[in-house]
Amino acid sequence: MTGRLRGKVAIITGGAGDFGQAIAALFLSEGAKVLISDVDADGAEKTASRLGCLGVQQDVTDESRWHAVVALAEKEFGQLNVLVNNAGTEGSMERVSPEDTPLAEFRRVQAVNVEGTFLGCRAAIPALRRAGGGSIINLSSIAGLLATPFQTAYGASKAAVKQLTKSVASYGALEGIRCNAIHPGQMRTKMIEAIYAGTAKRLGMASAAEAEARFKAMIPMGDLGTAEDVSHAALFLASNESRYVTGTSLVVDGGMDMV
Amino acid sequence: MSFTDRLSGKVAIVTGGTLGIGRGVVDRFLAEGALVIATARDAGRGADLEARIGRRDVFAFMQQDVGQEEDWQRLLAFALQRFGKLDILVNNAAASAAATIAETGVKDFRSMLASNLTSVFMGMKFGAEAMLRDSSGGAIVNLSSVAAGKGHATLPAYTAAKMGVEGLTRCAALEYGAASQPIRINAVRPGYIETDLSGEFLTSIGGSIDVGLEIMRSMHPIGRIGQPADVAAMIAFLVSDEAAFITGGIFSTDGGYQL
Repeated sequence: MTGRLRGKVAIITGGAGDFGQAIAALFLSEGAKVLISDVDADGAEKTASRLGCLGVQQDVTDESRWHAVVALAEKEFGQLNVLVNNAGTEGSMERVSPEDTPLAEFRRVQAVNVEGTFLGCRAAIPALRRAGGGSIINLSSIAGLLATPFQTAYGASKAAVKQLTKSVASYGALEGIRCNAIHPGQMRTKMIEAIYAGTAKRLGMASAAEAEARFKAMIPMGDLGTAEDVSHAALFLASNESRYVTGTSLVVDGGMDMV
Repeated sequence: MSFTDRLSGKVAIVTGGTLGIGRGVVDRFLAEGALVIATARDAGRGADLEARIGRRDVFAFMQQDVGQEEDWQRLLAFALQRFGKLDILVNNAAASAAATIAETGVKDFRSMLASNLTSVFMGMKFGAEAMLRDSSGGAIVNLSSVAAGKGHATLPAYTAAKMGVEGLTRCAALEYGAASQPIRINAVRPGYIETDLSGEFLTSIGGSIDVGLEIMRSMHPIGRIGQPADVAAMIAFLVSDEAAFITGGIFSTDGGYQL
């Protein structure tokens, strides 16, 4: 293609998931060297061998593992230029309201989504500094911008990611370490059928198709987005094209946060 | 920097296209394969730009006052006649004057709104009409400003107009986003752009141009003032198909100014 990431080394967490795979594939096609990690060792290995990149197991809540993963990227590829903190959890589909969410579940979601992102930023900053600057991309969500009474823990965690992004951006700016957030809206991922079914059940709808229609009606562009929409936003933020963009929220939602 | 051909064959209008950000957008769009019409109030600057670019098959200039309805009609008729369609509009032209409310005459206020807000309304209204004529849809980017994010004692008309531009952007994104051939509409918030800072302004804040520049630099965490190319890169992304699921958003390109 155009080699927009030629010479760059990227770590992408959650690399076996929908967004992670799409981001890794696009980064590779634009010339980057890529290390993906995933909590699912088998998924990381299969995705890595399919895409032709490095793949390792990583639980993003494990502090010491972060140092090993960053060190591995530097050892294998000589440097680190881009970190995509993509790993995250939606949380349980049951007992999700502010009144019903169990504390243990709330903490588990914050641990993966907030602590995992924090640990990633913290581990990457020295490596990015050694490389003379770089780009951190944190996956927040439209759930970090809107009220989410049916995803209490998830919404709170993604709002925290947005705020953390600004702090990291402000901290790293003078050293050329940029940090931005992507806020995907409702996307067509492997989870989507389960989400439709769960929504239909919760709201007493006749079918998952009814829930699907309800979801689409909330999106001004009338349809869900795709993992490729997210990967192109990540490419822009990873490349030198966005050299003057830091601390910002890139919303990729078909206009959903306006209504 | 190497460019993609993301805009190959697309027809674009860039208002205020002879200077600053607008000029950066014209260069960028041409580099990505678009056919471009630039407008400005000053016909002399337009003739200079036409001569400098030289490529009459892909570039044309038209004199336009964006506050005049008949100028918009004339421009869109010209675009359709010259290049056969319209895919992209960048509402960049703007006017700015530092004056408090007490110092601003009602006539001056109205004139500022005509140049900065009514102009964007007309651009979207008539631009969308042209885009839908061959029902291919399109993309519009409106230039807001970091001024829209807070208050400024000496920029009331400009700030109000830019806040209005962001409001119009969101309404228009809803109106035009759901069509079968949607028009995506987004706003960009640049920080200060080095080439647009007047010596008079810099001297007014720093006592001298050099000190003024140093003060402006220190207000951007990334350590430098923006260049037109920085903003043009964001706009090129937003109008390209890589941003197919992005509409109604406000995108900062400000070196962290708003942090």
